Amino acid sequence: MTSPEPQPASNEPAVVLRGVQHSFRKFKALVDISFDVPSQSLHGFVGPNGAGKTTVLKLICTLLRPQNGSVKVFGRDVATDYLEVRRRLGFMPDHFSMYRQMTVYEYLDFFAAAYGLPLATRTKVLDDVLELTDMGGRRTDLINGLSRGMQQRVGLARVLVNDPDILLLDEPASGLDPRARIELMDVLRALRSMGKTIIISSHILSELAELCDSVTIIDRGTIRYCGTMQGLLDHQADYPTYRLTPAEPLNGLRNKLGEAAGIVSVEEVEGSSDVRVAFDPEQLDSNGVLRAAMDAGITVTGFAKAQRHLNQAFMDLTEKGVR
Amino acid sequence: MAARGTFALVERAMRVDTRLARTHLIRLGFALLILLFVVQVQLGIANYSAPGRDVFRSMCWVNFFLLNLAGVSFFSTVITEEKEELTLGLLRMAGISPVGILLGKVTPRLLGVILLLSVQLPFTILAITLGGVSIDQIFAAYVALLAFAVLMAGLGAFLSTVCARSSLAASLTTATLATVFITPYLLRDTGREMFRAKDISVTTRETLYEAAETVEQTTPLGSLDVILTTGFNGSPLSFQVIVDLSCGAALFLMAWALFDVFTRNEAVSTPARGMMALFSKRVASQSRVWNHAIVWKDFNFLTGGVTAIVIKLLAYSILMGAMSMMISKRVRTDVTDNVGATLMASMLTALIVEIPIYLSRLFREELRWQTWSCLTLLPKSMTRVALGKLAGVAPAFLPAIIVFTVGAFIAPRFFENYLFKRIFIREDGWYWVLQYILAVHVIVMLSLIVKWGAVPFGISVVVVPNVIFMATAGRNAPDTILVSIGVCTFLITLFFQWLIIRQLKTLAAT
Repeated sequence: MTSPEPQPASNEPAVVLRGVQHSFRKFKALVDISFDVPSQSLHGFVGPNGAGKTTVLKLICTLLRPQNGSVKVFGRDVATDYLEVRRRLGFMPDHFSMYRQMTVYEYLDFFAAAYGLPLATRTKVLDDVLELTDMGGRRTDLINGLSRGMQQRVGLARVLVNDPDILLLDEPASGLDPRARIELMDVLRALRSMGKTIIISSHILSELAELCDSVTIIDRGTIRYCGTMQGLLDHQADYPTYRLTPAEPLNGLRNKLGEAAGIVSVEEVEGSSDVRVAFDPEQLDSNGVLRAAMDAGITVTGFAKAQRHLNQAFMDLTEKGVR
Repeated sequence: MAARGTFALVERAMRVDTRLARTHLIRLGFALLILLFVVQVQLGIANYSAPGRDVFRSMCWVNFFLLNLAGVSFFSTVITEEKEELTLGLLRMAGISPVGILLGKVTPRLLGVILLLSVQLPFTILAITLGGVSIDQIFAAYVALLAFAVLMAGLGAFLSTVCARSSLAASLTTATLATVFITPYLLRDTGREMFRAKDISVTTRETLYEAAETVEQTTPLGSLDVILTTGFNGSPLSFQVIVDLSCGAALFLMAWALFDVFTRNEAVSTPARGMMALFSKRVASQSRVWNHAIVWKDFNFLTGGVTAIVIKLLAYSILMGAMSMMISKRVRTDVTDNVGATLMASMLTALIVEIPIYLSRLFREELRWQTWSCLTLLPKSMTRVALGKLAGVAPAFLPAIIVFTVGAFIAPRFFENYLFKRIFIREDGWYWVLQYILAVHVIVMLSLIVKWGAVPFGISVVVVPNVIFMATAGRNAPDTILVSIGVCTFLITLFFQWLIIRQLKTLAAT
């Protein structure tokens, strides 16, 4: 606790995991996890149920101690420097762990005091977080009487009272109605603009795609992807792919295109007459693909580099079934 | 359909019970305890006129104690646990009738108790071989205990049906049992004192004595004494058996009749605001949290805050004031000493009861409302959090400590010469203090593992073996043995502290 406090810098990763393994008795929850979360970014953490998301979040927030490997938050090891790490992060678990018998103000005041904020500072901090989460008008309400969305806001306000550099949010939007979800995303955007690093675990992929700068996909205790959101959407496993829009449904012409030299696969895009054409870049370029389509007798009305939806990327990178 | 549902519930409960290592460990522990009795008697066989009867008597009292424990924790939560998990509605939707649910929930627990009694059979035969007890006595004793088990099951079914929460059902069961056990003593004492004061006639006094005898004979507390008398040749279907079976059945039928009324609306349980509710929300929100936030939280929400402490102090003062007045009327000499001694003894008892109750709730409430992980994420060590919580509940003991101190001022001689020098030093009171501290640690540990019944289980785990030890080998044991046990107790207490911290860390991450 006496060593100089490293300040977050935009070039320094906020979180670094290296070779992390964790088991619960015989069950290997994390096999060999390594990834970085850039500082001041909004990082999505995605994976099927039982993939190990919550375990990773609990390791980062010091609730679990890594059995193998290292986890560092702003350069601090979570195993040895856990008190300092706790000072600099806020964790919102996936369940509503709240003192529901308290009023909103009592609850936030309690955590502010528990983090060691002096009384004079607390009033200002609480006013700020209540304003940010739009809960100022409900400060005297008992938490027990609040709706799920409101309770989620109070939970978010709670993790903000100690002004953490990094926020870990485990499924913050689960069970919220569309309005509450959209409002929550707005709050997260506002927090990102304040320079906070936010790691958000969620199943709502469309919102993550819109919100996050970077993403980690985890499945069966291993990292399947870690990088920028754009990189994931552009990412192809083996071959470059273009999306082709024909004037009429392809029917038999699809096979004909597939047989052309250099074309690796032609897949239908669900819900439209478009096809995704993957090709071998050593034999063809995009012009060659367009030429092959016209040679196959297809009237092309649209042709562009295929960008996968996050859903598709998720399905491609994760395996069927749960552990 | 209803019968199928009942069987499904029974089968599931029995399967779960069989898979749990805890179940088998309890049975093993029980068998070992009985083996301890046998070894104890065997070692000092020359001192026993009827060793078989003494072994069997010990077994019977342990059984009776365990049945009371089962009543408080095992049976009293039979329906409330479904209410708290909000699963009662699902059972109803599955087409299981109220009687089906009641039978399906009560039967496996009753069978569990019967199985626990059945592990004793080999030792029972041994008791006959050792001599002093007949097969008729053994049969009658087991019938008496089984009838009491049925009563406990009926009482549990009834109270857990009408109560919304397990804690309330367990408290009411405890209160009911305490009333039944204390009533005979109260009746006898009242009869004796009123007759002495010439307020009642001999006939009335005898009527009160008979009433006390009748109440005593409704539980094994009275009937076992009769059964274990030398030369017993009564019927196993004693008055106690008939009363217990009838009451058990009646309570079960009442639970059935009231089931719909008390289980119609499922409500999500929420933590209570307690005495803080006495203030308006506006006032509450204006009063600020102390800098020692954890102390503030537990002081206000676990102990009830200043209001609860003032109320408790007033209640103790009024109660003790009334007792002091009664004593001053009855006693002619050393009035102040008697009053002071009563205050100290009563408040010591209150503290002995209060401490484990509060400490068992210290972490249990955090776990129950899933708030423990948030608390452990504070930049404080686990020990500091635990100490903060302890400091938060400590003021709850102030009323008892204040009244005790008043007692010590009134009767300083009693405090110094009797309570401290004689009881604590000369009569091995220190040994019991150490055992008590261990019991409190065991209770706190159990409160992290079991949902209900940590207090009675913790007490039984520590106190029962000690009582047996002190009643037999420990009675004339040299000081060196007691000191060695004291040192071991201290080390075990430290081990439990380590276990508690480890368990708290594990629970924070789950």
